[in-house]
Amino acid sequence: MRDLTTWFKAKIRQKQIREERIYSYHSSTEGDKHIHSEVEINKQEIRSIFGNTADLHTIGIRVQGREGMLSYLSSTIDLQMVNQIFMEPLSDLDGTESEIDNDEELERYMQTSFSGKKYVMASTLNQLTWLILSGYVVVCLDGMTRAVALYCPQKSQRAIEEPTTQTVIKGPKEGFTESAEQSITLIRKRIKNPKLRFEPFQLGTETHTSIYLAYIEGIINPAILQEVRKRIQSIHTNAVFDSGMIEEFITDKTMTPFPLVFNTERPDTTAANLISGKAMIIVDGSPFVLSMPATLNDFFQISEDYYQPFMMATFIRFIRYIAFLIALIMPAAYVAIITYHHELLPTPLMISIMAQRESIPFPAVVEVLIMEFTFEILREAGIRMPRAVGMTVSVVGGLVIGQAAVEAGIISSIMVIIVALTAIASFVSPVYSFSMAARLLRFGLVILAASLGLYGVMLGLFFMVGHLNSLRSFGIPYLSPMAPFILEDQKDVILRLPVFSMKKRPTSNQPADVIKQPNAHSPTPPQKEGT
Amino acid sequence: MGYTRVIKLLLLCCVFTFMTTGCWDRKELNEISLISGIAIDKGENKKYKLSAETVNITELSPKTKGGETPSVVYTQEGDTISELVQKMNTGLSRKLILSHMSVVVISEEIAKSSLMEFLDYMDRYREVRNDFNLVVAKGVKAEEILTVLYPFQKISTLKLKVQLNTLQDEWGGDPDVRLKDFIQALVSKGRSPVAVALTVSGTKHIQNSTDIMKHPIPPSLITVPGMAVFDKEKLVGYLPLEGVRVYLWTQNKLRHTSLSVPCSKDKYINVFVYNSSTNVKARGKNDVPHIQLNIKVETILDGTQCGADLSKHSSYVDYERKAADFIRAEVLATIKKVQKDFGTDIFGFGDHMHLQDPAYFHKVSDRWQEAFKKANIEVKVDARIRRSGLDTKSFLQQLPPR
Repeated sequence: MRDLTTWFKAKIRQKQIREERIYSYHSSTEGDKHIHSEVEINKQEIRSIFGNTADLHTIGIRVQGREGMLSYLSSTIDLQMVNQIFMEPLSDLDGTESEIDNDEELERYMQTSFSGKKYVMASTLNQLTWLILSGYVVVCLDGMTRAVALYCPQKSQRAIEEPTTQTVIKGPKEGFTESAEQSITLIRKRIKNPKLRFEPFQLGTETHTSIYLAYIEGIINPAILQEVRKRIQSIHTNAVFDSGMIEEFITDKTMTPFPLVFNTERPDTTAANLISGKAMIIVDGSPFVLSMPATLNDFFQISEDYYQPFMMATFIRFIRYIAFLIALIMPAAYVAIITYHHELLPTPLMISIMAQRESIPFPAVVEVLIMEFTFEILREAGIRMPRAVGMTVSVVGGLVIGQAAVEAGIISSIMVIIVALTAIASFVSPVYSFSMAARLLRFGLVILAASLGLYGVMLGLFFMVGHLNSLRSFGIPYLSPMAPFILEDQKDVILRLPVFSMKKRPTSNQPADVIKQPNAHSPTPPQKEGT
Repeated sequence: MGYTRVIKLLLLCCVFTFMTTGCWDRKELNEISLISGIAIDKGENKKYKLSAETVNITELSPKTKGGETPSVVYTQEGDTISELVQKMNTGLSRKLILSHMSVVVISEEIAKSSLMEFLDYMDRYREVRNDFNLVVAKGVKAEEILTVLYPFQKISTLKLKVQLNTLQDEWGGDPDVRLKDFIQALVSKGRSPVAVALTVSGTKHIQNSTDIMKHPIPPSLITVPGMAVFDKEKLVGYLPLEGVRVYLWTQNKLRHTSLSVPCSKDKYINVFVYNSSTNVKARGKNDVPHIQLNIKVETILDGTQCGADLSKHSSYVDYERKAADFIRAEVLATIKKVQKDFGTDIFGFGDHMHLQDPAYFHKVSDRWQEAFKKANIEVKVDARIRRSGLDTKSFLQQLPPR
């Protein structure tokens, strides 16, 4: 017993030491010194901070007769822009009489010659480091204790393209790119409203990634907004490369296959979410924007629903819900019926299935698992394969699964139909992360079906619905507006009624401002005279 | 913390008990055989002789068939059907399941000697569905019904299922009796059960062979001669096929039928009944039951041999009257025959009496069969000819005089 306690104490001590090391590393005071009046010393300091990285440049210049130094990272700035807007005015003024003797004069001088351009006055070396890292060109002059940082960021971003995972047939074809600034531009383009806010945060003790919290003041529920803010602020991570990494930090519950945060790479979906009172998180370097709070039915809807006639949109929504159910329970129901409930099938179908299964050496559940695993492997390979060999996967996979297995008598052909239908149905959800839930739960249900029959499938579904009921996304019940049932919101859940009938925002997001379009009405054709 | 943990563990154990109790009734499809029908004869040494027809699945699939027999019939004797079903593996290979059984054939002998107790097993056993046809083998042994193959459905009983359903739907030749109906009629005071009768027509020596499917004119075939009439659990006789139609008429179950109504000497009009409804009124007057049947039929004139002018309203009225008379005569004749020959209320008039005149029925309920024999039957038929096909004028009218 004593050994155990000492072992625990040692473990705890080890952990403390590890944490201390981590914190000391991040709160290092190195570089917190003031800028020295001698340029040469500053130059050495910067050189020592960045080491001899290849993209650091420190160039000597002369401004107003004073020796100075230009310092920047060539990888973060646009050199052409520096020359055009900053160097020309600086060198033009070289011949004039105005003297810069102290920091105040330097500031006044900057104000007159760079009015309208973005620049920052820095006084510590730490500041200088950050400015250099974030796309500024730093100018230090001899005898000055403050430095000027001129903002000329490099705009290296890919062009706006069609989204790759959330495509539509009818509707805007723009998708977000990895640049957060561009994402903000695309959103702002759609919502011309002074109440649209982007709150900046910086996350990642090593990457210092900018992320932005977007919302519309006056529509979003302040309590939810405060909760989102709080959760972002409480993230302690060293690196952020994608919004998915943020997602795990802020989600209400991680032990669930269901995503509690919605994601989109479509500016129109983002705008619609903002308008309905949601908060969005834009992460620099990720084209996927997070949206919260999210409810289950969000994952069955897509912006295109609102660009189509309402009857068509309603029909397609039905298809999505049914497809989700197929993806979830089809293999399980097949196994259960085939191994336990033979009386559920009509006799001709029973005979046909029995004839196919006559020579199959495996039990039905093994057959299902083999096929499902094969399919999952194929799917994963299809995503990761280099494009050039992608064709091979589809050809070999199609042949192996489809024909050879059936012809060899290992797999029955009805099984291929079941797996194929399940696979296709799992792609119907407009959000890829949601179909994952069906993919995972499917295996559990198959095992339950194989051991308990349809009773097991029902048990599994009961557990699933119970679990769904327990989920909350930023305090909002995940199943709302179904449970708790909100009659007013049913206009836009499984049905999609005409747009003019939705005079209020969905109340499941608990928006601060509920009224959306009070005067919307259905179109009336012009009346003929005399009728 | 520790407390919740214990609860969680217990819950987990509960879940595992579910898991470990599973699988006991798991039956893989290639480890079972479907019983497509059973036949019950009287045993020589024991009470029953059970023949079960099991399906040779590979022979029924167009892909895998190889000219073997599509079904295997195995017979053994015993005292209960339940035991016999479980014991079938004395001769057959796989586990048998009863849920797809489509026909249960009862031999005449069994039905005449009131040995219908086995129905209790059928009613009780969870694997048996309530959708099989209960049939009586008329003039042949019950097991013979199972051995006559047919080229379309291959297996005798699967053919019968389709055949009887179609016959009931198209002409009204099957009384559409299921297990529950039969038992309901057995226990009711105002009704006796019926069952469709089957027989084998043709040469018997060739029936037990797959060769039977190779002849364009089947050397032997299962046909429907009519319906068996029971007095409670005892078979008392048969009604011809027209009797089945009348039975369906009284039950308000007739969907379609076709009538050949005489219009003059040796000339007939043919009307197709596409809609029919029957309303039964039962009253006790002066200690005699009065049964009134109001039959409404809507028909299409399918053909005429008389050649009346169909552009005139009067010809329709005439035909309608003739059709109504024909139906009335047929219905009355059958009911009278049942009253006289069998004296058992297969039509369920007693049930109607129970509902419509309970005071009277309670007086006679114990001797309802006697009362039924004396019952006054009145039939009112309202027949309408709604359409006359593609022609209004028959070519018979336009024949040049000879």
